[in-house]
Amino acid sequence: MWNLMKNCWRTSGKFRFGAVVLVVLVGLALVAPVIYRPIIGNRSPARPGQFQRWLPPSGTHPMGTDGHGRDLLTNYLAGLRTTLYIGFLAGVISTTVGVSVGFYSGYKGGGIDAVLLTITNMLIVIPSYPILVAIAMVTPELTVATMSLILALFAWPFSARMIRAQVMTMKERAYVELAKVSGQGDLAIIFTEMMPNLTPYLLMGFAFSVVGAMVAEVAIEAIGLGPSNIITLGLMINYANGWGVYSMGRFEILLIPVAVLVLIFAAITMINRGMEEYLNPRLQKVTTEK
Amino acid sequence: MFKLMRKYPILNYYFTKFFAYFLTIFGALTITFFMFRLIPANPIENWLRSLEAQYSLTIDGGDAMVNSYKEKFGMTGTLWQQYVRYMYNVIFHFDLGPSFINFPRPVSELLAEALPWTMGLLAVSISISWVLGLLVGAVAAWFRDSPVSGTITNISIALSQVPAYLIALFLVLFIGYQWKLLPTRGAFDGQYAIGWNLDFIRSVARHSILPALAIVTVSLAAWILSTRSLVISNLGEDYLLYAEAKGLKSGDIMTKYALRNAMLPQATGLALTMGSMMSGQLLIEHMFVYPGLGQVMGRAIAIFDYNAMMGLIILSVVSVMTASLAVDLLLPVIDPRIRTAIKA
Repeated sequence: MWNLMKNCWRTSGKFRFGAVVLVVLVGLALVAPVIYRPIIGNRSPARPGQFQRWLPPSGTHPMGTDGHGRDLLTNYLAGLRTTLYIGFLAGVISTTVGVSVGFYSGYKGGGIDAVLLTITNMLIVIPSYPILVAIAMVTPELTVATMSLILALFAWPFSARMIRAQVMTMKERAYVELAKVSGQGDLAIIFTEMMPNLTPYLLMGFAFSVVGAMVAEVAIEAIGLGPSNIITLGLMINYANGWGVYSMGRFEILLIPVAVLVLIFAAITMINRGMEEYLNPRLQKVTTEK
Repeated sequence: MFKLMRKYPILNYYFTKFFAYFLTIFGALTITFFMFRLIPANPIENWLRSLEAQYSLTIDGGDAMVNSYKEKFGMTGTLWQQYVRYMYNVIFHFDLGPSFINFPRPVSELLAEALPWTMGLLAVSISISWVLGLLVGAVAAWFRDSPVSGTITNISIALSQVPAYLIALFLVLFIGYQWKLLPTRGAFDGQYAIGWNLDFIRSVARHSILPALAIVTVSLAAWILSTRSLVISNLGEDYLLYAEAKGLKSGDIMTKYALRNAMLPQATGLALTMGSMMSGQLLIEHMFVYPGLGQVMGRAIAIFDYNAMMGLIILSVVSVMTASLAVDLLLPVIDPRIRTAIKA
């Protein structure tokens, strides 16, 4: 995996750009509590009424305070932290389920494969957004973990289908045949022969799920149908719209979360694309000669 | 019949596709039905509450009243009985039941009212981005070594996964609010008579620009990227070398050879996108208070209107599946390579 990253870094400018942006944002999210401790002490960033409302940016509040009397910088950082965390968790869950189903289906083939593929296809055509919102609305005490679980519910079929297709072609390769003939067990073949070769696809599937989960999360939060007890970037957008920050001339309150989200999505897509180009040289403009 | 199918593989192909079509729709509806019913929500209670709020009166939700509504909405009996009754009504009578959000009007009427707005907005924006994406993508592939092409590609990659509603927020802020160039709410101005008169049509067009622009920005990026990689992968092929050797103009080679071979997958993609447009941009409509399906969804979810939500999902599932069935059935007719593959 380390080698793959190094090669992608060397060959693709897109990968470098995406990786740098993502590392900076994830780094910010990780050290967030260190940054906001001096401002709010040990209180939760989400607690309303900590300060005066609508303070302009100043030394103590670098970005001012919001309509609920909370420090804005603190809330952006907390929002970034939760949004990335939900995306990551939902990505891990859906990739794990998707990869297991995809591997099982593609490797076994036959009747099991047909049944699993049919179920996967059924889930893929259901528009998930209304159902996700409905589940989020009626789940009491929605935590970060349950939110991720709900988002993963509809995300796994996509990675399952992708992995299945890869496994189907890989199954026919000579080295897998050889492993079979030499008497290796199914699990040994999957983990020692196939998994290492599928790593890039696993990573791409993972990135895809993370983006999908974050898009859905922001979509649910931004129109105010999600939980209001977890601060995410989507919820910040919803608050900014609700306060009418346009008419107050405080555009940045809306623009910052939107811009950060756009950056996250762009960075992950760039990383994915960079990896794809490294794996499939036909996408690079230099290799195809007329 | 099986004998016939063995003799003509193409029949087998069509049969499989039709079977998968009905099976997938049926399964998707079943999954959705049970998922909604298993969510612990109480739509009748919600609905009575919303009536109370609306008319500022107190409704004593006595058992008799609740039960009579339960019957009207098909919520009596065991879950299994409800399921059989619902599917029976949907499949044999195309009856989606009454809606809560606009009781007692049937769900199908609500959807039929909202549908033209959604289809109008999305069909236009999807078509625009498809045509533009194909052209820009082909040019970007052809001049793939120029810095302009590189910039276009990089911007497209960055934008391709950004959800349209984030772009919409920017557009509303700058074009709608800051510069006050275009309206950001609704689908037309109330002052004009609804119908085929110039003022009304102009008003509809003006209101649709911002939501359409948000959708086009993102989907254009995706079409540019896919066209570019399709055309680039064609560029190494022998028939292009041959065309060049024949002395054809490079513009002709690009449009009539390289782009033309990218058309088939892109046309398939267009059909599938059109199929998914029912559910693709619900949030955009919600943001722009556009009277399409997104509005219906927002209201339905707020009070947990089972029937309306199921109706929306059925509409979306059926259109996605129908579009992909149409593609599957047409492909062997259009593409001789697929015909050969089926026969083998």
